[in-house]
Amino acid sequence: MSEHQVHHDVPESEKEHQHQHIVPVSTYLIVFAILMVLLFVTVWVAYQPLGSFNLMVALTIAVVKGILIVMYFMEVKYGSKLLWAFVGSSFIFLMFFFILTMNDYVSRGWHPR
Amino acid sequence: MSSHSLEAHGAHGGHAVDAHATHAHQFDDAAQQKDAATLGMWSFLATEVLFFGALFTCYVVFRFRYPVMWDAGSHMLDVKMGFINTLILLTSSLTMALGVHSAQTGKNKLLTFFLVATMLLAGGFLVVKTFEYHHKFVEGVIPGKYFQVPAEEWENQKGTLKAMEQSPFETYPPEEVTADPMGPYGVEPQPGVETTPRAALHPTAQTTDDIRKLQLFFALYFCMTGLHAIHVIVGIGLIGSLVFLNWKGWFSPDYNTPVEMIGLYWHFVDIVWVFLFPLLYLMDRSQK
Repeated sequence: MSEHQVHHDVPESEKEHQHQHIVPVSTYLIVFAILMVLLFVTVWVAYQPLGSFNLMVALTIAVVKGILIVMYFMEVKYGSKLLWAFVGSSFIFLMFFFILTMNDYVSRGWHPR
Repeated sequence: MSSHSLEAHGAHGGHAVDAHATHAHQFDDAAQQKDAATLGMWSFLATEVLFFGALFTCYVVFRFRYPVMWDAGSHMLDVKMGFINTLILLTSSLTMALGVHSAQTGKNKLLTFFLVATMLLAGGFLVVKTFEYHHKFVEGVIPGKYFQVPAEEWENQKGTLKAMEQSPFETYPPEEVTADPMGPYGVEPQPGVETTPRAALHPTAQTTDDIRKLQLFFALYFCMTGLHAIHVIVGIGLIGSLVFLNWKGWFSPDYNTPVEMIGLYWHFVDIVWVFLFPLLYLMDRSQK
């Protein structure tokens, strides 16, 4: 530890950077409270007769919960742009996976006019 | 790199990373090392997203093809159990995040407390899951030769099946009922094994086809929740190793990357469950 602290060649700004962003406990607690509320909402709304909207509402809530966890618990919000690109690309490829597959399955029953 | 840090590495027997030298020699500083670790972890998580993504895609395809039996299968799952498990896993994510915070602020005793709490919650999740699996085995809704659906379960599905008759994607009941090669039972009758006669099942769900679609749902249910449970078990092991390393005095405000990385893994496992819960347990519950 002491060896590290006698780095004279590291500029002061760099040293600042070494101390990572620490998310305050209050942020974690607020995010957790929102997640809990969303959990109750998702169960409640599942029993409401919304027809085909039930699925959409359930998925929207799940996506919001996922984004909250990624941004605050996984601290991507405070990450570098490169990290954002990594995280974003994984979900973009997942969407390719879904959309291209479902393009095929949904259109199989269609007949040419 | 200064000669000081080189000496530090020598003094610690060439350990690439340890609690005293805050970064390995290939990195400029600790911050760069941490960025590299974070990117590496996210590359791994991206492969995990696609790993689970394959199963989710499979789920979407078959749900689109067989909405009636998919709903029937979903309604056989226990919402209360799934709800409790979501509650447990979200709380464990909070304790993990607080653990990371403790590591960053140098509160090592608190770190141990939060890590152990996370492990206990993960264990609780697995206990609930075990009860659920056990219940399914007792009922007999295990995909395979002896798959059968309890008569009272079919009774519960009547509302669903009626509502689904208006489904735009699947005519129900099927206009053409194919000859049932397995006779009046879902499985070939075996001596000494009691099976529910088809006549006791729901009148419109009498084809082997339906039984097969239901099996498909339960096969996916067990694959998805099973793979997730394996991730939870691995997570318990990883967090356990963190407790050990913390006891050995590895972590300080200057160096706590392993805690953060395993934290990322644990939150990912949580996110997978956040999607599994509504998709498996909460499908079209209002139709009942």
